[in-house]
Amino acid sequence: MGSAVVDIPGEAEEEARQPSISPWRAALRRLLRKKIAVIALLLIGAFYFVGLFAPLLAPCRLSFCPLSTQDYRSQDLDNTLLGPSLEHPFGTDRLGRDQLSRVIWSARTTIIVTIATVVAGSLLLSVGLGLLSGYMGGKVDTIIMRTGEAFGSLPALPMLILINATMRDRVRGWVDGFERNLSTGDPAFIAVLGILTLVAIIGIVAWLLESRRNGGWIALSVVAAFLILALWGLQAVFATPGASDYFLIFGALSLFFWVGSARVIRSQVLALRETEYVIAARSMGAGTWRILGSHLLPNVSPIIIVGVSASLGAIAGSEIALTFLGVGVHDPTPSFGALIFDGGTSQPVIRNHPHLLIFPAVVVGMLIFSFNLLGDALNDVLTPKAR
Amino acid sequence: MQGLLSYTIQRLLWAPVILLFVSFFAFALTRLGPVDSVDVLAGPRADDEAKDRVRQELHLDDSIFEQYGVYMKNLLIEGDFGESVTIYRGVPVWDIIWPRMLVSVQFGIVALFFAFSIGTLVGVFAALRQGTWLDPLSISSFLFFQSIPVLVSLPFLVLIFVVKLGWLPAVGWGGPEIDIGPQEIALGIFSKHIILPALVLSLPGMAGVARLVRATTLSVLGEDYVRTARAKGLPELQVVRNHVVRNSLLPLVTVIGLSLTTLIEGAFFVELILGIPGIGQLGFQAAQSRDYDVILALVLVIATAFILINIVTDIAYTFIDPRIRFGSQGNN
Repeated sequence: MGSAVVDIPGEAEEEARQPSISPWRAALRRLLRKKIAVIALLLIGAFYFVGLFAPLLAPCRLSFCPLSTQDYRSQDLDNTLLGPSLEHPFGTDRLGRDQLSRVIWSARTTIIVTIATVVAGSLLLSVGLGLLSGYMGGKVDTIIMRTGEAFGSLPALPMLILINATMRDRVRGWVDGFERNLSTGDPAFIAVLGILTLVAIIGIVAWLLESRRNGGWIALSVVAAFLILALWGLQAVFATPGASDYFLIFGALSLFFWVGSARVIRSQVLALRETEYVIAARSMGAGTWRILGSHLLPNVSPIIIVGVSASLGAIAGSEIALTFLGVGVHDPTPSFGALIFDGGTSQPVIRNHPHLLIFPAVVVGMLIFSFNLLGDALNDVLTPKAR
Repeated sequence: MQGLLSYTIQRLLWAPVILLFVSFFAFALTRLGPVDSVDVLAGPRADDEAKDRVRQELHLDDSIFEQYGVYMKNLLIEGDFGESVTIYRGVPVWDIIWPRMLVSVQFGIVALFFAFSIGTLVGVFAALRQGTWLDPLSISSFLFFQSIPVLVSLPFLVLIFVVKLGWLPAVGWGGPEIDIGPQEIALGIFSKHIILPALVLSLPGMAGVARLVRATTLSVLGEDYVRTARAKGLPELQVVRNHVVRNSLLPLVTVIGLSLTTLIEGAFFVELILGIPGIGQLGFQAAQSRDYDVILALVLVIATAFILINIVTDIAYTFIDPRIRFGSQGNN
């Protein structure tokens, strides 16, 4: 912190000499100057790359895979519990499945759950509710904040276990129902997609044609585009095996992970609500949504980024924890929780086959540590107080 | 003092409201969540007639509000949490939970003690060494230990201390036994069994406390009164002990609630991996065998403890630091 104080005059001068630089560019530059943050970013980037391209990267999908069916699920009962070797760099588990492939596919599970939870819980719920309750005040504020307080004052893990243990079958039923009704070949699905595309195009055209460039039209097409993406995404997710587990986990996690950042955003909005530019916008007749969207949202976005980066590690950890306890993702979908459970709970396994524990545990440890390092660095870079 | 009193009353009145909300939410989950809870209750081979009988016996045909009313009435008036269905069939839930809670509380308290005592010492030490080569090392190692989940660190500790070195007992729980009614429990505090769980549970909390103490100590070190104390020639030890540490420990009160979360959540993994008969292991068993009333009771007990402790720390902090109280009034 001492060194940061010394840095400020130099940085300020540098930024003053280049008046065109945007605050985001400046923040990014400050972030990239931190070596630890860059290392953390690279590690997280590598993790995401490996997870997203799991179907291509996992060795048991490539031609040199020694197993016949070439899948992370394929078992080879003649070669169970092998130690690390050239053929199986991370060894094999008790069913002869290639551990490296399972680690890579687990990364994919973690990525799906973290992204879904961040989008649903951290972005939609916490930003929306935080902005609303800060700006509207009064009853809306009381209801939102009291609900948040109720959720925030609960120990999350026992609640998550309860939700997952009780709702599992029901959610599976829902997801199966959706899956039947939401196939890409369905004429209704195609019709909805077509209508949404039409709306998006109309929005863009109207925005371009109108002389005053009212933001409403472009917002309409953005919403339509978002719905299209969401439909496609849902359809793709429903089609994957184990989809109901993902839904249950990210739904339950979202319930608990919006509170913290919503509270911070609200307090920031409370302060911003009285600033001149918001009052000016209001006196010119701007509506609530316009003020929220184009005046308040950009000004709280640094906080949102800090909040999201801080919660990423916790979300990833929760998914792993739930799966470890048997109420998360289920076999055969691999997850780090299941891998660590298999490798780290029985002492004979720890004693004789430590590779089953070490590889997944080290990956998880590095991932969560990197998330926290990055969150810390972003906090330094984006929060004015810490600078 | 008026503000403090009304604040305290406000907080205390708020607690039952949250508890009501939580209990209804949790209760509704156990009754409405499963597709058909009778499937579990009646056993796998029950025919339709038997299922109907079970449904009637348990009033599952009533509305959820009526069921909730009955449950809460039994709970509040008779302290009756219902009976276990699958794990220990017919045993009252409270008789299952109570002995296990006493086991979990033992290593929880020891872990809390370690976390705060050692964390404070390390944090103050790191703050005093700011600017030396130790500084970046200590910051990153704190963050590291805070980041690593218990379910990752514990197997490694087992690998090192139990399997390789053989210093600690393998698994389980032991020590002198005392009788507490439903059954006997072992006092692990007096045996080696407590070392591993207490150690692994205190690590993240210790690192968190150390980080916080380091930050607050640094800000206190820049205060005028510290400079004054040094200027008048007080020995450094006295400056640190009387002027710095006293003031930098205040914010610690706020993290007691937070470290309690870590403890409760960590207990699930510690007990599962080490085979300790505490509430975490019970929660796991109950979730596996879908003994919903046991999970429900666990959630209620933990939530109650949690909310009460949060309120106590809130009030304690307001008592210590009047700015909080006035800040909250300023917002309204």
